This record gives sequence, structure tokens and C-alpha cells, in this order.
Amino acid sequence: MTKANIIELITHLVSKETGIPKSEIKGTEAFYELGLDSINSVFLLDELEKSTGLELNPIFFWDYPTLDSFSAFIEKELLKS
Amino acid sequence: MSDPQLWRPFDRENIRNPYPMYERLRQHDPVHRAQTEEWIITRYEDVRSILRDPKFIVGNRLNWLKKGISYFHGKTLDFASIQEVMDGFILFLNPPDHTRIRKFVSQVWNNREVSAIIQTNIRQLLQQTDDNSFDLIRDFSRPLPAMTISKILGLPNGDHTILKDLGTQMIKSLDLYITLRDLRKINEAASEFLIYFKDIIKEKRRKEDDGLISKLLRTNDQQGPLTESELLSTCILLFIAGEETSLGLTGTGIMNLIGHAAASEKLRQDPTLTSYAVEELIRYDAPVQIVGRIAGVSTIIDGKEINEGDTLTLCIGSANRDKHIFEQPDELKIHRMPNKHLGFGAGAHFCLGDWLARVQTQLAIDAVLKTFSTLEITDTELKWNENLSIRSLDTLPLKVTRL
Repeated sequence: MTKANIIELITHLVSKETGIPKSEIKGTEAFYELGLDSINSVFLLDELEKSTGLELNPIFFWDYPTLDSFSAFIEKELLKS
Repeated sequence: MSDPQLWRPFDRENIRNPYPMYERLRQHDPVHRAQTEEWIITRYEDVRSILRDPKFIVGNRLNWLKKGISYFHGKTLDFASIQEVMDGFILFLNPPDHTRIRKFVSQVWNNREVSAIIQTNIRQLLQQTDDNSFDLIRDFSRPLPAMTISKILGLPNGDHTILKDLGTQMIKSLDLYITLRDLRKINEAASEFLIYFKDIIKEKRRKEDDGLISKLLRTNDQQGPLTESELLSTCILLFIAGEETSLGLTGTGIMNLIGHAAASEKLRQDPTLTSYAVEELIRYDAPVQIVGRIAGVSTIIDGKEINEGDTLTLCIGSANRDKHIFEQPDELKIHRMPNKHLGFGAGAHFCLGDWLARVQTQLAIDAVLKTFSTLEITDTELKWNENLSIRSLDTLPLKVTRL
């Protein structure tokens, strides 16, 4: 999965969950500002696990709280696996 | 702005040994706003006073689970069994329900003549182990509390083997951060528990015995403070609470004694010291590491503004290593006196089974030290269960010499 694919995938999932159009989701905006919380992030993470095959922990969302930082983290994890 | 590096509970190193992370938190930011927005409280005095203050209420995990259950219901995922089991767990209830149920349970849960049961179980388990090697967790610390609590409750012999794994699955619900995978497993365990204990209650109503469940039912029939679903929840909680924490305490406790040869030797020579050693083992490496509270009113702690409704994560494992209270807190001193650790909590929700945990651990340590002249850990790296709230080893292979 390339970095662009990862960003596209996460943007898609966030958009589907929050109803915000993909074009309006900025890479530097915090997830909680987009309407993600400790519950819907659990769902999102599960969707992301299914697409990537990674095992992810809910706290990662908050350790890497923006689309940019989270995508970079997922890219690194994919390289490790 | 707080430093997000301070709270890294999932780093491998911190799961193995959370105490250096706690020390950094106590030193640099004892009331720390985590990246997930809850407050991480790590100093002894703060943890203790919050535990004793009725303005801080319980139920944050249950609230989260209920919100989660209703959210996932919208995604056509059914986790209703979790709620059915946990709604009546007294550790999540506030007054007046808490007061009513706790009073009733403490009144019935008062048969402290458990030594004979525990000794029989210990003997049986240690007889089954190989003379040269065994797994302290799988062969001893894990089955022991399940066998004991099953016997106390009056469950049929052998049922503990199925129930102990369900308990491990279910206890994950108390953890701070859980995944959808976890929720599925917790729900499976919850529905198994419901089926099992509904049957047991029916059975005990048909045919009374001298177990604790019969006694609960009998007393409740006369006094009636608990609803049917609260009774069911209480039976399940008595099983789980007595199991996972005790397995953590005996397993981690004996592991720490093996790592401190001089302490083990002293206990071999003078078993009257074991009761002090148990307190110190709880302080040093407590099975219940984290409990949660909700701020019932807005308040200020150490200059930080806590808003009504904020969640607080109280790090008991950290409080027990606070150098302002305990001299040389990172040293295991089996004679330590006084030892005002918070391993069983404090205040209105103080552990109801502390006496059972104490007796069981004391007897377990005495028996293991008496049965084996040498005990050696063979794994180079310890395998901890991934649960931040309840700390326990998954396995601990030992090389031993039987006396």
C-alpha cells in the first residue's frame, strides 16, 4: 500500500463515519475536530484493520491525532509487518 | 501543554514494566491530561483522596460500554449481553444502589472459613505438577482461584475449567482502551456467563446446598433487596472478581519472590513473615493497576482544572511506588511496616474480597516454598497479558526441585 493509498483509505473511512465530504478533510486537522470520539474510532480502527491486516490499538488514534501523522504511522507499521 | 510522550501505556517496555513511566508522570506531571483526554493521576495522596471522596463517582467504563453498545447497535452489532452482565456490577454503581447491594453482599459473603478449601486445592494442583518443571501460571495460579471461588459459590466440580477462560475474556471489559475484536469476545463471554449462571440459579432454587449462591438466594428471598438481574450480575461478579485479580497476585507475587532469593529464603525459614510479605507483594506489583472515576463536580487538583464529567484514571500501581509515602519504593522489602498500599483500593468501593485474596496468596506462597527447594524462571522474557487495568502474567515456565 502506498502512502497515497493509505491517506485515501483513512480519508474515505473518516468521511463515511462523519459525513464530511472527502475534499473537506484536511491532513492537519485533529480527528476529534472532525467528530471522531473514543467510540466511533473503535469502529474505524476495526475497518482499518480489515483493510490493512494490521492489529491496531485505539490509543494510536490519539497518539497520532491527525490524518497526516496517523497515515505516516500506518505506513511505518505496514513496512514493519 | 502536556507532553504526550509521558503516557505510553502500550509501549512493550511499559507493559513489561510500567513503573518507570509512572515515576516520570509523578515527577513531571502528576495530574496529566492524556491524549485521550482523561486525567492520569499518579501520586499516592491524590489517588487516595479521590478514592475516598464521594464527589468522584464510579461507572466510567460502564458508561463508555453502554454508549458503545448503543452505537454498535446502529451498525447492527449486538453487544447486549455485556450490558446485561455488567449493569448490576457493584463496582460500577453509585449510591443508593451501591449502598443497598454492597450491604447485602457483605452480610452474606462473610464465611471466612476458606482455608481448608484453599489448602485442598493447592495440594491437588501441586501434586499434579511435574517434579522438574511446570508453568506457575497455567498449572497453579490460574486454576487455583477459579477452583476456590467455584467451591465457595457451590458450583459443580470441574466447571471452573470452562469458566476461568471466560473470566479472562470478560475482565478485558475493565481495560482502558478496547477494540471491536475485544468487544466481540467480551460479549461472547458475557452471554456464556449469563446462560451458565441462569441455569445455576435455577438449579440452586430447586435444590439448596451450603454454597454461597444458595445462601444469597435464600437471604434475598427473605429480605429481597436485589432484583433478579442484580442477583445474576452479582453471582458473575463474585466469580470474576475473585479470579483474575487473585491469579495476578499469586502469579506475579511468586514470580517476584523468585527474583528476590534472599526474601524467599527468609520466608522458608520463618513462615510467620508471609502475611507481611503478601502486603508488600501487593504494593510492589499490584494486580489492580488502574481504576477509573468520574468527577461529579468541577474541581482543582494540583492546580489543574478538572471539569464535571471528566474521567480520571487512577494509577494504583504508581501510588504504591510513591517515594513520599514509601521509603525506597522500588525495593521489595518483605518486612515493610507500615504498608498502607492502595492495592485493594480505598473508600466506599474498597475490595470486598481482600481477606480471601490475602489468605489464598499466603497459603499459595507457603505451599510453593515448602514443596520446592529451588525455583527458576526459564523464560528470558516474561509474557504479560495485555491488560492495563489488571496486571497478570500469561505464562511462567519454571525449572524446579521438589523437596
